[in-house]
Amino acid sequence: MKITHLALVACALLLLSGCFGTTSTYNTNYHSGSEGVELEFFTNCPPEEVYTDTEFEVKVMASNNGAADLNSTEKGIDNSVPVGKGFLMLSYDDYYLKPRAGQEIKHRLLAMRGKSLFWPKGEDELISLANLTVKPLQGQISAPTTQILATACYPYRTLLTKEICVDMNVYSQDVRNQACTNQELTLQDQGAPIAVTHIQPVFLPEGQTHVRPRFNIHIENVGGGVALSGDIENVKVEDCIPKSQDVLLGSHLSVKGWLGNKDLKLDCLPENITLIQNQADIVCTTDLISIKPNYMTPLTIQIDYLYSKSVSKTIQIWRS
Amino acid sequence: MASINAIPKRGNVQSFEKNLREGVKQGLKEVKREVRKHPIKTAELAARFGSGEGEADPEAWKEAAGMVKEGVEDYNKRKMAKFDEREMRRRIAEDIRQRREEMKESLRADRDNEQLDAQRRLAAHQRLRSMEAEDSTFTRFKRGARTFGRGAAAAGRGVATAGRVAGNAAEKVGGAAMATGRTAQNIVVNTGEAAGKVAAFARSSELFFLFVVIVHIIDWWFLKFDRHTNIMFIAYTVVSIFAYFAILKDPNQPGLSWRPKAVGTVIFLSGVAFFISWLAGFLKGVFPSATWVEYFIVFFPIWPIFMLLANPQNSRRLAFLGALYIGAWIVFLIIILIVSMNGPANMGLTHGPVPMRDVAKDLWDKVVVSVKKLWRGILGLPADVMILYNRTKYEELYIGTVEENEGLPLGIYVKEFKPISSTRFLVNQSIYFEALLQGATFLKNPPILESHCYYKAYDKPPIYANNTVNVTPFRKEIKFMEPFYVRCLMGGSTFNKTGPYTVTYRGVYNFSTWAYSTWVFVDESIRTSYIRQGMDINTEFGIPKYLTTYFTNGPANVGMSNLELPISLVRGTSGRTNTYFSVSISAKEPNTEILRVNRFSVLVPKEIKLSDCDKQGTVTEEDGEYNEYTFDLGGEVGMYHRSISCWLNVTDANALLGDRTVTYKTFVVDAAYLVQVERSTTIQVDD
Repeated sequence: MKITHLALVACALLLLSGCFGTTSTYNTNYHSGSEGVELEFFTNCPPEEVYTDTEFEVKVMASNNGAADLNSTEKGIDNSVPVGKGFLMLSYDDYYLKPRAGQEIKHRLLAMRGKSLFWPKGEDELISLANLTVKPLQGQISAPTTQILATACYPYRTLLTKEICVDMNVYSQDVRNQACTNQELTLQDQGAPIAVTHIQPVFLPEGQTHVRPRFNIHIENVGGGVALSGDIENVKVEDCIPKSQDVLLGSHLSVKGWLGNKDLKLDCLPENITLIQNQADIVCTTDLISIKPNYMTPLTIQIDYLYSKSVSKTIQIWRS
Repeated sequence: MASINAIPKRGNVQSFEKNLREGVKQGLKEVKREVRKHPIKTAELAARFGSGEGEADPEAWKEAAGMVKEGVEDYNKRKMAKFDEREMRRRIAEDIRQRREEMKESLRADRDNEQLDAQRRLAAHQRLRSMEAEDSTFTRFKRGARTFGRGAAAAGRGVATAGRVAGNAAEKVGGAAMATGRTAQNIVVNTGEAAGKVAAFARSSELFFLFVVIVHIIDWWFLKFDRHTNIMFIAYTVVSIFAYFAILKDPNQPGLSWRPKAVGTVIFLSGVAFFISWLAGFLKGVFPSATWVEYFIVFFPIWPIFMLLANPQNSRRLAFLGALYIGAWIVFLIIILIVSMNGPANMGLTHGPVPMRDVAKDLWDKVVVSVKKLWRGILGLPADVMILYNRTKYEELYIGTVEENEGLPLGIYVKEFKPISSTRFLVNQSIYFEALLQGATFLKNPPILESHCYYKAYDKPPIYANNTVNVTPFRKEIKFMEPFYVRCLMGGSTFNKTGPYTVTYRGVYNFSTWAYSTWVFVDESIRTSYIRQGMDINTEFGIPKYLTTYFTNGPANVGMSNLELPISLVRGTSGRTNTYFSVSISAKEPNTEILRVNRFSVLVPKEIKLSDCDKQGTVTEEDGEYNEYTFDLGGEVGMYHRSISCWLNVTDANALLGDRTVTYKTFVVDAAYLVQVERSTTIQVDD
C-alpha cells in the first residue's frame, strides 16, 4: 500500500516538475541592437601558430545580428530598392602566405537574413575564405608573425517606426483637452549599425490654418565599423573601397521618411549625409498640414548605406 | 574607591628598581645641596624641631647645622649600604605585591558594596578583572615598548616614595631635613621620570639594533640582496623611521631630531644598506675575481655596525656586543694569519721569497701603460667623437627587435675560454688554452669559423699561437647547435717572465642577419574617412601604431625606419611618396665587432622602388615579386653603425593597394658580414 502511494507521489512530482521548466524568451523587438553583420574567425582557422610549407584554412563565422536582410527581395518604403548582397574580403601578406596551388582567392558573397519572426537571432554562416600555404622562410628568418584580415562590406538598412504626436496647438490657443502633446524622442538603436538616436519634432505655423512639421534628426554610427556610400542593391567590390569623392562629399547615407501612412513624404537635408565624429544631424520637413486637433501618427525613417567592418588575427610562423 | 593611577605594575620590577636607585641618589644629593645652601635655616629648623624651643643662640645653630650635615652624611652611608641588590628587589617586589593585593581587596569591597551606585561598582569590577588578568598573564617582555612609559611613571612614583622615606629620615635628623626632603621629593620625582625615560630610550636603541639585524638577515638569507622587488625599499624606509625615533629622539639631546647632519646620517646609512647590491656589483666589476665581496656585504652590515660602534645611547649591551664583534674579527684575523703562515706549507704550497723588485717594476709598467692608454684615449677622443657625430648626423641609427627566436643562439658564441692542463704556470712553459663554442644558423651555407689565440702586451705586436699547427681546429664549419672546443697552444717563449698574462681567443666568421618589417598601406581616402568619422583606423584593422623591424638573433642589430602606420597612398598615382626608407646595421654585443659588410641587400615589393639613396646600390629583380637592392657600405662597421636612406617610390598605387582595404607588404634586409668575437682570460706565471 505504501509503495503504491509513494509511486503515485513520485509520478505527480514528475508531472508537476514539467510546469516549472525554464522558458527561453526572445526579444520580439527585432529592430533593436547596434550590430549589423559581425565577423569572427572560426576556431583554429587560422591557427595561432603555423609552420612553413603547411596549409591552413581561413574560415569566418559571419552573423547577421541586425534587422535587415542581405540579398532581400523585399522593397523598402516608397518602393525603394531592396538590400542586396555583401562581400567578404581577405587580406594577407603575400611575402609569407600564398593561396593553395591552382586556387584563387575570391571575394565571398554575404547573403544572410536579419532578425525576424522566423530568424529570431538572425542568420549565421560559416564561410571558408581561402586555403593558404605558408611559404618557406628565407635566410635566417625563423619566427615571424603576420596578420590576416577579413573585411565584411555589405549594404544595410536602418528602419525606424515610432509614433509621434502631431501637435497643431502650437500656441496653446485651443483650450480643449488634446489627445497628445509634442515630445522629443530619445532612442538607442534600431537593429543596425547606423541608428537614429534623437528626434525633435517641431511644428511651424504657416498662416492661420496650417502647420509645417519639421523633424531634427540625429544619426549615429553605433556599430563600430565605417559607413560607405554606394548602390545598396547591386554592391560591387569597388564600392567597398572608398573613393576620393567619399572624402570630398562624405559617405552617402540615403535617408527617406514618411509621416503617417505613407501620405506625407519627408524631404531631408542635406541629401548626402556626412558622418563627422561618427554622427550627423539632418532636418526633414513635410508638406503643410491643415490645423485640426492633435493626433498620434507613425513616423517612419529609413537610412540606406554600405557598411564595412573587419576582424584581424596575428599568426606566428615557425620553420618546419 | 582606590586610586587606579597608584597601582604599581609588576612588569617593571627591574626598571622600577633601577629608576628608584637613581632617583634616591639624586634625591639625597638634593638634600645635601639644600642643607649646604641654607645651613642657617636648616640648623634653626633642626634646633627648633630637636629642642622644641623657639630660640637658640648662633653657636647652637652652628652646632645644629653641623649635626645636620653629619646626620645627612651618616644617613647617606647607612641608606646606601642598605641598597643591597637582592634585598632591594625582594622588598620592591613584596611591596608591589602587597599594594596590588590591598588594591584588589579594596576593589572587591567596592564591587560588593551594595550601597555604592552601579557605575562605581561596575568600574571596580572591571578594574579588578583587569588586575587579575594582568596577574595571570604576566610577562615582562611581551609588553615591549609600551611599558617604557609606564615604567618611567612607576619609577617616578617609586622615587616619590623614596623621597618621602628620605624626608622621614631627615625628620629624625632635623626639621630642615624634612623640609628639604619634601623639596627633594619633588625633584627626585622629576629626575626619576627622566631616568626612566633614559632607560626606556636606551632600551629602544637596543630594540632598534635587534630590528636592523633581523632586517639584514632577511635581506641576506632570504632575498639574497635582490632589489628587483620593493620589499627592502619598504624595509629600509621603516628602518629610517624607526631610527628617527630610536636614535634622534634623544631626551638628553633635545633638537637632535632636527639636525640636518643627524637626519642625513640616518638617510645615508639606510641608503647604503639599500644600495648594497649595486655596491657589490660595482666591486665585482672593479675586482672581477674578488670573492670577498659577498663576505663583505654579509658581514659588514652598515646599520648594525653603526649601532654597535657608534652606540648613540651608550647602551651597555650594545657596547658589549660591539666589543665582541671587534674582538671576534681580531680573533678571526689572527686565525687567518696563523693559517696563512702555516697552512700553505702544510698543504705543500711552498713559495720562495717574493721578488719585490719585479713586483715594483710590474706595478710601474702597469702605471706607465695605463697613463699611455689614457693619454692616447684623450688624444683620440675628438676623432672618435667626430666619427660618431658624423655617423649619427648623416647616418641615423635604427634599432630593431630580436624576433621570437630570441632564445635560439644564432651566430657563434664563446661560452668559455680558459687555460687547461694545469692550475699553475711557470716561466717559459707552453700552455694550452681551450675555448668552448656553440653556434647555430639557418643558412644553407653554414659559416666557417677561423680561430686565433694571442697575447698582446701594450705597444707591442700581438704574439699569436701558430695557427695551422697549434690551433685546432683552425677552421671549422658550424653545425646547428653543436658545441665544440678550440684548443690553442701558446709557446713557452711568450711567457718569458713572471707576472699576469691576458690571453685572448679571437674567432672570425662570416654570418648574415636578416631583418624584416611588415608595412601596412591603405587608400588615403579610407584613412581620411576614418579620421573624419572619428574612428581609429589602427584599432579597426588591428594595425600597429608604428613600424617594427624584427631581426634574426645573432651578432648584428639591423633596424629600419620607425614610421607611423598605416601608410596612405592615393589610388591612381605613382612616383615618389613622402616616406623615407632607412635601414642600419650595428654590432649587438659589446665584445663583438663587425669587420666588414660583404653584402647588404634590401628586398622591396615589386610595386615599390627606392631612389636617391645615399649609398651606391644596384637593383635586380627577384622572382617577379620583389626587387633586390644591393648596397656597398664600404669600410668596416666596427663599433659604430652604418645606415642607408632612400626615398620610397610607388610605381603603381592601384596595383599595390589592389582590391583590399588594407595591404600588407614585407620589406626584407639580408646583411652578410664578417664578424669577430673575442674572449680573454688571465693567468699568473711564476718562477
